Parts: sequence; structure tokens; C-alpha cells
Amino acid sequence: MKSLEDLKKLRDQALKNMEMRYQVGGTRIQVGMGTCGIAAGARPVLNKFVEEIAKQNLKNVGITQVGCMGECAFEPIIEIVEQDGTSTIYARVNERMVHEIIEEHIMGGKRIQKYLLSAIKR
Amino acid sequence: MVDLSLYLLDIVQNSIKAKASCIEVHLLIDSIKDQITMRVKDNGCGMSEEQLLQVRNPFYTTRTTRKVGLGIPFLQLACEQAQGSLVIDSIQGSGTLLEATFQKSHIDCPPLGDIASSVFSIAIHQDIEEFIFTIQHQEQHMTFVLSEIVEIVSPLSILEPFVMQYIQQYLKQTIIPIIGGTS
Repeated sequence: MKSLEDLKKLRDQALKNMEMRYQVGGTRIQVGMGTCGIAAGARPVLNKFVEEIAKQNLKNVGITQVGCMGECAFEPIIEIVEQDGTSTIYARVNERMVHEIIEEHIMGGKRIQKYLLSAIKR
Repeated sequence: MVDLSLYLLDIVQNSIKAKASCIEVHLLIDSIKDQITMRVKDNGCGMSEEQLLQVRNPFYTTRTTRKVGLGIPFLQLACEQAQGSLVIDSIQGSGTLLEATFQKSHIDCPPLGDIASSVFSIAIHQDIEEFIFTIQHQEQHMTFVLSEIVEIVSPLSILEPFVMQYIQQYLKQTIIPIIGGTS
């Protein structure tokens, strides 16, 4: 059973092996969480991203929840904003795609063409 | 929306958009009264009387990307289908209180769903300062206070991957036994 005491221990441990953890910027993953996004299944996608980031121990990736992005028919939509400002929008994201996006895009630096909003909309 | 946890998540997004710094959610499951009550209270910007009259209208919205706003109408429909009601009280400038009730045994009452997941999604939202979640089911209850967690993990951020994962598991372990096998 997880207790809050355990969390304190975890924090102390993390503080000990904190290298250069806080770098400015990094990659930001924005998940659309408007009514449309939630109804289409954005919550499991958000949670899966959190799990994957923790599992892969990614240090420079943040998750942001945003409102409706205006393309309700293609929800759940996620936007990945790179440190240099380039943005990539993936549409109709599901839990299974999260692992792929993390591995190929976030870690590998390669866009997955078939999941892009621009490709799906066409 | 498939279940109550998604309605909850959706309604809380409104509070976040209203720039609330403190959000209180109370979920009461009462088998004796045969009622489920979901109360969301925030200290956001509130609504004017005019807005309050319009808020149940699906063709009213403050957003600019679309001409419809379905969050509140969806919830109201769900409540009324299950012999419940939706009450919204708001004072401009000081906050909003929303209370949704459902008849628990009603065939159209939505299942509770993955409450823990929704609470987690709210807790890790970057714009929230304080979030208090209480769930009560007969004698069992639990309270989650975001600022307590923030205090424990300081100086680290709760958005550290290991902290988020911890909260996720903590909520699952504490909430699921209270609501029982209903997921």
C-alpha cells in the first residue's frame, strides 16, 4: 500500500541523485482536454503519456493540458512543441499510439507521418 | 461521455478556464438515499446573471473556435435522464458552485467510471494551485489535498515524472476500494 511516508522517501532519494535535472525549455506535449477531447478519449491518452515518460525516465519532457483546439472531429489531438518552437500535431491519438510517439518522435526525433493531423484530414 | 468520471473531468475544466486557484470536488455515493451527488466548487471568475441564464443552452459558449458549448448541456441531460437534477450557483468575481445529482439505481444513471484517473488528470493540471477531492461511500471516505502533496515533495515539482506516477498509483489504491468494483 502506498502511503505519503513513502513519497517523502522517494523525494529524498530523488534529491540525492538530482543531476542537472532542471534545464530550461525542453519538449512540451500538449493534450487537448476540451469537452470534445474528453469525450473522444483524451484522458487515457494523457495518463498513458505520464506513464511512458516515467517509465522511460525522460527528463526534459513536460505535459500540458490545453482546451479545445478547434478540430473536434479529429480528437484526441496532441501537439508536440519542440525546444526550438517547431510544432507537430497528431490527431485521433489512442493509447496504443502513445508508446510509438514517445519512442519514435520524442526519443528518436522522427515525425510519424501517418498519425499527423494534416495526413488524417486529407 | 461514457461515465460520471468523464463528466467530472469536463466540468472541472470549466473551473480551470475560469482561472480558479482552488477547486473542491465532493463525490457522495449514498446507497440509503439511493443518490449520487457530485459537487464542484471553485473560486474562479464566476458568471454574470445573464451568463447563468444562458449556460444550459448548447448554442451558448465563450470559446471562439466553435459555436457550440456542450459540457453543461450534456451533464444536465445525464442528470435528468437519471431522475436527478443540476444546480448551478455563481457569483461574478467570487466563484461557482455546481451540484449534479443522480438516482443511483436508475437504469440510465451513468456508471462511476475511472474516478481515480479523472482526479489524477485534474491534480497534474499545470494551472491548478489547490485541489481538494473528497469521496464518500457509506462509512468509507477519503480526502485528497493537492497542497499536502506539493508540500511533501517540495522543492521538487509535482510534475516530476516519479511524483506523477506516485500520485497516479496512490489515487488508484485509495479510491478503488471505496467505490468498489464499479468501473
